[in-house]
Amino acid sequence: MGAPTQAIRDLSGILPILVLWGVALVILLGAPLLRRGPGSRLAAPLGGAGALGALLVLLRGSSDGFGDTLFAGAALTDTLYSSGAFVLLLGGFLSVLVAQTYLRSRDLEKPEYYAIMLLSLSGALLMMQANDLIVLFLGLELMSFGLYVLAGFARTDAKSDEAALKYFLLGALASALMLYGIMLTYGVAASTELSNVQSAVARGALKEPMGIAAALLLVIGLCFKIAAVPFHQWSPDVYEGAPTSATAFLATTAKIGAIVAFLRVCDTIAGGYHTWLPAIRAIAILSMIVGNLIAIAQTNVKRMLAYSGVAHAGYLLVAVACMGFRLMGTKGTQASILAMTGAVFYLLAYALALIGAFGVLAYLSSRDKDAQTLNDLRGLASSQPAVGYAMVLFMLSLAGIPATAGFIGKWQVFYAVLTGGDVALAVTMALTSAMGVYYYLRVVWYIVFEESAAPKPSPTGHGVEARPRAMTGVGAAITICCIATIGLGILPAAISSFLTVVR
Amino acid sequence: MTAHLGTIAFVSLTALTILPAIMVVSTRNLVHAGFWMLPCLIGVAGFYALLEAHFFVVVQILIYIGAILVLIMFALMLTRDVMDPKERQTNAMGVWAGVICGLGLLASAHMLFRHPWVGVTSHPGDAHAQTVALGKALVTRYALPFEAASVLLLAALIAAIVIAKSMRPPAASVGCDGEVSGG
Amino acid sequence: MSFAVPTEHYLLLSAVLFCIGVAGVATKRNPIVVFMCIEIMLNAANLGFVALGRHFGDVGGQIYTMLIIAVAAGEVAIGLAIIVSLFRTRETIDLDEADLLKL
Repeated sequence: MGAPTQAIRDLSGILPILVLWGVALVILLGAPLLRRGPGSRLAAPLGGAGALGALLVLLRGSSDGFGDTLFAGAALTDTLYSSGAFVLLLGGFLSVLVAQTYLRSRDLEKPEYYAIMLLSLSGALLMMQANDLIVLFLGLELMSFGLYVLAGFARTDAKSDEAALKYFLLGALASALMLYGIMLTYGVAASTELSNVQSAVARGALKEPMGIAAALLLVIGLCFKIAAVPFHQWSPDVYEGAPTSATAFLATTAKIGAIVAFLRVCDTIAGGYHTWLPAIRAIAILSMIVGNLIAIAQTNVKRMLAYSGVAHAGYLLVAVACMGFRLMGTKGTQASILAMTGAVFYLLAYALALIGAFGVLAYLSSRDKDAQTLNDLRGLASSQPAVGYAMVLFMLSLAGIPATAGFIGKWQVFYAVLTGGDVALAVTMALTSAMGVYYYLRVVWYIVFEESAAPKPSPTGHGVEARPRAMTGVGAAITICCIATIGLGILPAAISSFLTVVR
Repeated sequence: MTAHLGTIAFVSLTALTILPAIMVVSTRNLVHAGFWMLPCLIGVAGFYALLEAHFFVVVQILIYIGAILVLIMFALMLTRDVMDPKERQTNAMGVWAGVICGLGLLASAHMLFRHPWVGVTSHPGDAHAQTVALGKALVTRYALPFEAASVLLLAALIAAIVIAKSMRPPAASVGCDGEVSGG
Repeated sequence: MSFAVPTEHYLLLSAVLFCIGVAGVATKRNPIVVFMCIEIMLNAANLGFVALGRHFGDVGGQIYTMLIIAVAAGEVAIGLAIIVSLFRTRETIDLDEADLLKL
């Protein structure tokens, strides 16, 4: 009986998740000590250590045991998971850094924040590792539970409460739709394990009405989570209402977890592409156009980033659509693999730029001022050059200007979809990216060329005399995001050993 | 004969489930909507009995009715004064929702009866054997989802406490009175 | 005892429940009632899982139902906590009035 070794193999396969659970429990159990007094300084470092520890465990484990299924087929480890997890945990770590400063300056800090963050990260990991739709669903719920609460963490702020309520109700609805899709999948395939679903699809399950309904419900559920049009209505409100550090976290975590799961699901059902590919293509095109168009009208930076997030969901859906080309000859197979690698790189670039941008907003916020609008950024380049130009860099990366990581990510996805031969998607992607440059450059304009708003002499203002915060967590996060954004823009190969998805 | 009984039970349980569900959606009084959930959930428990999933009859009544519905009623009554029951409780989407749902129903009827139902339909064991099999499966084949569900409940519990705990300055929050709600 | 009622009847019933839930979510203004409609949708999925599990002679269907009931319990705890918290700060929970954040 080889049970013990099997159990050890199973557990070591989900070791990053176990690390996150363990550290979250430590924070929860130690919460009375961490809540006030000298211990209160330890909560954020513990949270950061949890994310970083999981990242290290992941990197150590990546040398062996790949392509395995764990827990009797419930989960698996493969390169899509490990590269996605790398991005996710890095984003999680940076979000802890942002939260440390922001929560402190807004007087919101509680140790539970970090514990919930780690549990949410573990949910996203589980979602990426899922080899069974029900595990995917549980991971999604575990992730979302945390995100609902973080969105409503500023409880005296009515906007934050409302953001949590909207996010919760629409999220619960999306989960219910997706669950019904899983139930129908179970009805079609007699199992929810992805390999069985794949063989059911190969037998033509997606030609039956029930299979079609199942696939569409699954797609709708996941599109809700990544905020693709027409399921995006929650995102601007939630981005605006949630505390900035929570916005940074939920924007990146939900997108990374859901896109990787989306890639995996669509890769599984590639055999029935004629059913779902048109839907994904339509949603992708709509998201790219609508997201970019509405973002132009926004004066609140958080809302603008929400709509730009809708557009980015569209670009990422282009990569998801490439999964449908897998069975269309060698070119198609090549395109699907390129798209997976490209999507993960895109997610990394997006997470770095987005956490950086929200980090800058968090940096500028103080106890009685929450920096959110373009006016808060006015003249930043002259009043605080370092932060100002960092924000410029993040905007350029989000716009996909060459020599930034965002460009490389966009280029990889673009190249993949061209390899797959889908010119319509490629053209839409190029045109809407050009459209998007406008509103990112408007932020740059405000930062660099506009006069600084009347400088307030009060020490709580956001002028030069604000207390020095470069050494705090958010300063570190902005620095890391800056270096990585430029570094990956110039030398994308530096990280390809972690991020290349092999099939 | 038993087939007959099964059909009769199915039809009456359908009425017991569907009609209250429609009432939940259509009634104007919020508290009544909460009370209409009760027969609906009992009806679903009845279907579990008909499907010989004995364990779930108990679980449905204990958790759905005993915990979830009670919590919902609690929240409804807590926030009751806020919404005037005489006021319109629906938005302008009513007609559209009805049309879309009708179409959805037709589509699902079509898809269900077109589906080639090849199945094993083996007779499940008695209540005891089934529950034993369920328990074994939970700690072997389904160990990971089972563990994930337990962490999920923990996360939900913590999250609910964090959100619902009354907001007070740190010094006063030692004996915090949280509405700890958990399932 | 025979398998008196065919599986597709259970699934049709589940679809009816699901559609009622969707209609409720689309039309109701009170978040608690919306949430109740979502619970009806989850119940529909549960019923489908148990019926299918029985149809396939697979214990999986019942396991999924059990996990989903756990999820539903967690969801209700969080959801009602959020609603109660919003009620405290705003004194209204009408979804149409909760419009500090506009599209």
